[in-house]
Amino acid sequence: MNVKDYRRKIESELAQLDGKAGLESLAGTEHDGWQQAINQLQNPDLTTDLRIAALQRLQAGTFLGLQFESVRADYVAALRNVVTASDDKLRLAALDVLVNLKDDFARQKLQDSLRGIGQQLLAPAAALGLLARDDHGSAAHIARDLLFQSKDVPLRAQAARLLGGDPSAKGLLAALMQDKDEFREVRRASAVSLRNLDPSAFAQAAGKILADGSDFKDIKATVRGALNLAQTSAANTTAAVGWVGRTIGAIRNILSGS
Amino acid sequence: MTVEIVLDATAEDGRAFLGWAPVKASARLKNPSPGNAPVPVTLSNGGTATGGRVVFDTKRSDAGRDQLPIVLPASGQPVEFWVAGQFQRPSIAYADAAIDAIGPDGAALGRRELMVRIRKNAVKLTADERDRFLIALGKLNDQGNGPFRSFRDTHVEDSYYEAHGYPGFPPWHRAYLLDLERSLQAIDATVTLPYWRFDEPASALFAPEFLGMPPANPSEGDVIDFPYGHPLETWRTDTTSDPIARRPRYNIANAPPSNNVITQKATLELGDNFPAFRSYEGRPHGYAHTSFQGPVNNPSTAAKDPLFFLLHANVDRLWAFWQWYYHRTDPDDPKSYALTGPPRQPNNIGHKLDDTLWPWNGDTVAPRPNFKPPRGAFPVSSLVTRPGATPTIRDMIDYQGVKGGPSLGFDYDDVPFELHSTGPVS
Repeated sequence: MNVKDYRRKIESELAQLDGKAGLESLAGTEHDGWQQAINQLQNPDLTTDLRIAALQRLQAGTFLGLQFESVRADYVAALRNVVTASDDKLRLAALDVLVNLKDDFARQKLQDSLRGIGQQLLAPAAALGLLARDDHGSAAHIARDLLFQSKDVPLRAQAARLLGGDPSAKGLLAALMQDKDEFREVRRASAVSLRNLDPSAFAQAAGKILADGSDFKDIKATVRGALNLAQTSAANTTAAVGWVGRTIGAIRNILSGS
Repeated sequence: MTVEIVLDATAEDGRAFLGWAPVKASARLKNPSPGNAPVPVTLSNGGTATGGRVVFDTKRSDAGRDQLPIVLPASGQPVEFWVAGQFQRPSIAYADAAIDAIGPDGAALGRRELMVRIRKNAVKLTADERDRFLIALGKLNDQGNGPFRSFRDTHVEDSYYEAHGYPGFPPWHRAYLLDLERSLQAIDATVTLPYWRFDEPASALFAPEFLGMPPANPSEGDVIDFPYGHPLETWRTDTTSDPIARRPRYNIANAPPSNNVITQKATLELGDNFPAFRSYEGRPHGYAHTSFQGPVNNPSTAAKDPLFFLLHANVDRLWAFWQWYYHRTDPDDPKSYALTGPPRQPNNIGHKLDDTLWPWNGDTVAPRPNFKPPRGAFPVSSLVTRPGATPTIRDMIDYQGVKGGPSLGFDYDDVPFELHSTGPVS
């Protein structure tokens, strides 16, 4: 389309706007009302959706810099209060934010919850997932225990992911990755974790999987993808071009089930 | 007799890439036939039927045409012309666009293959385009060991006020995205950064083969459940155990609620001057982030999630669209950029028009962040000279070179190149 015609088309579309009334109704609300939202977030008489809407409004405020600083402390305090709320969805939403803020209170609560101390705040897989975001080994022993104790697939997979931060877990991860009787999600998580911990041990285990005609195509796709990433540097365009085609083909085959 | 066509926008490997902004090119006879008569030639579109298309002109303009007749001297002296991608006809792969030189008898005398390389709506990418982008991104991350780490480390709490809460929010993020895009293009030059049009349904973006979704049951956690072998399956950032985690707070069959993530139309209605428009940092930008549970909803962790870059590509596209619509491309026009609102102390450093942008300036003197800047000099493009090693706010404003000079080397599929005199449109 000719650029001038395009401008006319856009101007015509904008002329059909619902006017500025909607926007005027927003005027001022961006910078006001955060304290009100903090109260709403903590109000057990409100519905979960309303309380999460209040949380979303507060979170959006954190993207506005200094303007939000005046309520930041109250905001964090409110989130900590909500961590023990009766509603699962709200607890998860609050813990999600606090973990992103590297909040030690939330981290400790999650660890206690996983150890069975006090209230179970989240399902174990969800709790481990949050801890893994900013974990420096503090929850590795919990993950290891859960891996041995539980047959729950999401929990085992999440534990294997978290062990990607534990150098002492290399042997365990290599074994899980190659265990054909293990759940495929757990094998995948173990493979990725081992790749991060010990690329040469991963390559060795991956070679065995790829050479094993009876092993499954899903874990082969995972290890092949990880090996290819390792074999081509970011600046090596020539190698990357060949790898692009091969990987796209592999992805398509997986997605099509062939 | 053959015709050689040379484009300014040519990479070191000989491949040529165009956007909507015109670039200079030339054609010349390489081995003229005897007689020394000049040869009339018509420049026209080659390439595939569904591929990219170009337009020509004898001068830098926004009204190029499909064909351009020129006369080439027998001496082999080049004849200059201008060429640009035809608006709304981008390429989907390299060499699906081409310039053909056709002789007076209709014979093909020369061809220059190229790509009209444009940032596109993520849900409109072909499968090949999507996969090339994902693979380049996966390689850039390299399971947490690649250059992506420095991008993640740039957008953190301690650098917050370089990029947020002050007027430099749009230009800083434009530079950040361009840095990432050039890094992706160093891996695969055919890749551009797609955008998430967050005021429209975009379920294809969250399909398993693209950015994925978490398990349906929240009790299983929010880690994205990628297909086996997916390029982002091994994505890591801060630790060796933190894959991509994200859960939408809205039904992805729809767009997020428009009272918060306001529409493009509403964003344009924020105002025709920069101080008014800048409130888009709150709505829709902030609310687009908080439409999800996961690191993307927090300023200091958002860049862990690749979605961040598609979200911000749309934030940047909105600014570009606003700039085009209201003719706000002159950096010195206070309606295009202005220091308003509470100043960053001291002296609005990092946000004034000619301030260099952190981290590319390497500055560690307060109020700049006091840690080692994660990125080095801004990556050089072999296609365009801008913005140089240490970009400024000013460098980021007229990204297409509407007011003159080269572009920054990127364009959006729905924001054309249009010349204009300074001042608002009617």
